[in-house]
Amino acid sequence: MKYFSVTILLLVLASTLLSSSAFAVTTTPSPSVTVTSAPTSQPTETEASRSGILNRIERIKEMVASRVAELKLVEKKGFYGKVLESTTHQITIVDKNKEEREIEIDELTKFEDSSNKSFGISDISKGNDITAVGLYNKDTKRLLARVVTPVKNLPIQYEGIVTKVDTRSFQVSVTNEKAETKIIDIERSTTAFSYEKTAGMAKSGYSKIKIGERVLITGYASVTDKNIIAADRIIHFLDVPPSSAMKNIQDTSAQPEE
Amino acid sequence: MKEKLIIIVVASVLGLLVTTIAYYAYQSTKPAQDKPSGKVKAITLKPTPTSIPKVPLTIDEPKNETVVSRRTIQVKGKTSPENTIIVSTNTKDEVVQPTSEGNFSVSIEIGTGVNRVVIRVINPEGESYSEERVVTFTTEEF
Repeated sequence: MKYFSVTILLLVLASTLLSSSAFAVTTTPSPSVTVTSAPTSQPTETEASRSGILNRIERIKEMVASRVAELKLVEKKGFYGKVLESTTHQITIVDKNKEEREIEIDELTKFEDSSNKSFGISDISKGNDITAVGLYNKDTKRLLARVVTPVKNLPIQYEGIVTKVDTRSFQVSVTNEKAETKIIDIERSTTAFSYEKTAGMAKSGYSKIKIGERVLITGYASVTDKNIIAADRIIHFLDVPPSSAMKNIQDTSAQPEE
Repeated sequence: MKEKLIIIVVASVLGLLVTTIAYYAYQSTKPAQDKPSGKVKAITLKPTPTSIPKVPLTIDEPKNETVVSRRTIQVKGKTSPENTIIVSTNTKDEVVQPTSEGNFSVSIEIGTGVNRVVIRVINPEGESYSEERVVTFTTEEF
């Protein structure tokens, strides 16, 4: 009896286990179809479109980056200096900092000179002062010239103290810190200004310039005499003192002749 | 046996002695590269004097070799507040005083073509310092 009951119990347990597993097998497939079918088809479509958009964004990014790099690499510049060498496709100049600069010439480069309509590359020779404007490549450090112009007469500046005023010949002698003296030619076109810290710049005249005053001359060097400057503008400073070197010159020139 | 032992000890001592002598002899013949000798003069290197201007001046604008299509440019920079600044182009001069912080900004006319823009600073003692910028005026489109 005991054996029988144990066998029954085992059979019941086994059947229960089998039935429960069978129940689970039959019920799960229906929802699994609905659940699995919907999400698997939708993500593949959106992923494809997303990757397409991302690709396009990447391409735009690359285009923008290359354009920015191009813009950063090239800028408008104007070179000015003395010609060292000139060929049909290149001009080498030396600038004020004694630096050699290379200017490229191509079929779009224009050569302009107001006094010479036929001005061209063949007119440029060693020692000429020229200016070239164009596109400067920061990488190659070369300028692709768009316009090349000769520079004939740029004004020069001369600073010093007035050591002599010649009212008859309308000339002023100015000595600089290096003790070099230049004769300043006052012309009809010369404009004179005085400067005072409180009053600022004021129109002045040749007759108001005094010996010992600090002056700044802007003008053009004489072709015939390198010690003469034809003044275009003069500023004489009323309350800006001469430098110590200028004072020394002043003191030396003030000493009585032996 | 005892003799052999003595020979080994003596030979070892002799070997060590010869090696030591050879080492010192080699060291003494080596050229004295790093050793300071009595004949070598001690040289103190002084810093190379750089050309620092007595009058401070920093130019922010314009940049050198700038190309402009307007006849007026802005010159901006910094110096000591008590200094006097003179800005000159081919056609004009402007004299200004900086702000209490030393900043200055001047609007100045330029000539056609290439211009040498000279920015000159004079301190209260009369010492001056100048810098130059090349600015080109053109209406050319490129």
